[in-house]
Amino acid sequence: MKIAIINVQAPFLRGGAEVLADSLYAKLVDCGHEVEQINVPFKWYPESSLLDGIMACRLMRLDAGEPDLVIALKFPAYLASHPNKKVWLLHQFRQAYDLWGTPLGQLSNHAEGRTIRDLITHLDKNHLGSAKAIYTISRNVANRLRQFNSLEADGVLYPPLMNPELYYSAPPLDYFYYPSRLNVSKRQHIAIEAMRFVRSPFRLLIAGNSDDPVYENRLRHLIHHWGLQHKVKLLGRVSEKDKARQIAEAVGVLFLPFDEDYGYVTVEAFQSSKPVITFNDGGGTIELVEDRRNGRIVEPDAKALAEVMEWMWTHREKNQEMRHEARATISRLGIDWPHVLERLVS
Amino acid sequence: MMNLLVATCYTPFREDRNARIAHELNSELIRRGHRSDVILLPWNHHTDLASQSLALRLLDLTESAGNVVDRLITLGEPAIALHHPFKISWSINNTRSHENPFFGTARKSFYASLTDAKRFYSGKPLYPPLANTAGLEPGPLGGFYLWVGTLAPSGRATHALEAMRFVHPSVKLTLIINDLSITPDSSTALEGLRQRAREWDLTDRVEFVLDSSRSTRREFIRNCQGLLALHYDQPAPEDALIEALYAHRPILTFDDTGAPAGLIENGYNGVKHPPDPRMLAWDMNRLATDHNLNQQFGKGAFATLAQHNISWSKVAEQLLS
Repeated sequence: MKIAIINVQAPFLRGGAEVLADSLYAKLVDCGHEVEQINVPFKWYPESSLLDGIMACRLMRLDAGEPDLVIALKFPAYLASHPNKKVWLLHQFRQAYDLWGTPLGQLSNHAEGRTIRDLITHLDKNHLGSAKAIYTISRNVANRLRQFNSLEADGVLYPPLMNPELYYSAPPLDYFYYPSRLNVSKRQHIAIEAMRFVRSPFRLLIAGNSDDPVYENRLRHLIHHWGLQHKVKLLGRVSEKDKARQIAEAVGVLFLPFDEDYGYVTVEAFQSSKPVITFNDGGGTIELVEDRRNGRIVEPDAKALAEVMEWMWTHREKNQEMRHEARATISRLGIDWPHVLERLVS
Repeated sequence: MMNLLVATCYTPFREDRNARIAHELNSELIRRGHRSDVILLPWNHHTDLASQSLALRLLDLTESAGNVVDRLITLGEPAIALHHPFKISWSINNTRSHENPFFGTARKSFYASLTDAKRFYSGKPLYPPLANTAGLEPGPLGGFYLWVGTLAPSGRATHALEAMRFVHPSVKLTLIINDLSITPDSSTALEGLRQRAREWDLTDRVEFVLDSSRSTRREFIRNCQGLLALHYDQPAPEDALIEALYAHRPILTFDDTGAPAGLIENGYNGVKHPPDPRMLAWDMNRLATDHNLNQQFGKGAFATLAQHNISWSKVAEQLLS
């Protein structure tokens, strides 16, 4: 089958959406399909340029090369037309929906923001609604679609890892591990503050690139300010192989985002049979983590976080059970490529 | 270090030359220490051309995530419609960008044929190189000439076929047909050629190859007696022509072929005559029988690459000059 994957592109940048698109491409090719990735450059700022990006996607001809199936991933790429379009929805333009009127929703401050929001809602309703099927990457994304567009997703397809074989389990050493891009939305600062309240002799290793130098400086300042240099380490960017090893040897993995759409970190930890600690406002992450079954869910608070880290450190037997459950979660939720491809291509 | 974007339009699900050149140029720019990325936009050649141009025009490629884009390099038409205050256009495909309404919006323009370089500016042509020359080692002469192209009338496959009427019966012709599916009338044209071959009693000496993959094409190129580059007024040399130069093969061309005519010097790296099948046949006979001459022209063909410095390093230097 000739399959086109359509996504948006921010030149020079690569993030989770690109990793997902690349993984989907590779897995479809492995299955013998003829696959093309079509990436449309898109800028969501200033707000006035949003309409140009939307219009460009509407005018793009996806029938070039005559694909049998188009799989669309992200706004506004999914607005492009094709008679056999399926959507694996990563996320909509959240500023027009749940972020409207919040500090993260710049669109609501724009003079024409309301008009643009109404237009996006209308287009989403029409052009997502006309797709042959809509799958979402989490229940969180499906819930927004229902709440704001009255559209029911055909199912949730949690994105599997590109190389699950990289991840393995090993006896835990003396640290908790937080691998993620350093960004205020990932709340590494709360993890560092939590270490102030920890009495047991474990450490916190934080791995990941910074996309915000101000936030990185803030983290360094916190470590210095609270005298945590011997307990907290910022590792910077690590290779996939090193990350897999560091997860394998951790007591548990921290993943503390605010209202995440999905988050690969949880799946990487589960693949390595490691329990995950997350916050109860984590969005997509709390769909995967179940408190005391395969991890811990707590209030977004440094002291509360310190307590569950202590709990996990001292309750070794319970931790062992959670490790077993963490791995089982992957198959229980169908987080594997054969399942995803079967739904998208069938 | 500059932030650069290399953009072109392409047909998905095909071995697309524009896309390949975009990636190769991007690699060269990164190798030179720039931050560079590729923009590949799908293009349907058959419909809605104005709407698709408008879609290109609407894309903002001046900045990305806080990185100002210093230069946008567009490869061929229709990508020239993309907007950027410092746009560099390099015409590498078979549609002339001067016919595009956005022609003239580039800060600098480069052309891939001597004719166009003279016609539109007074510079030298900038030929698209090959990054990968695997499979182009010269092989033994296989007793056949090669023609590669689409079956549009401007490709003049019929001239090659007609020349075969006047060529010694021991000499054969192979025609590699590119993109048979690209135009609805290609199948009809192919049947017309087959019919003509039957009428001229050439069926045993003419082979039609519909597999236009690079590996197949190169296998034929490295063993042919010479490449027939007959396409009328080409704005850029086809890959097959550059590949033939690498494979030490003489080029037989007409003096109205545009890019090939600008590269070929009569009696040095091939032959060049007015578009006459009988004259073409005469040269085909000559090069098929005189192996020393064939080899001499083949050496000239290979030397042409150095003579014109057909390399990615030159391309990068010129485009960013």
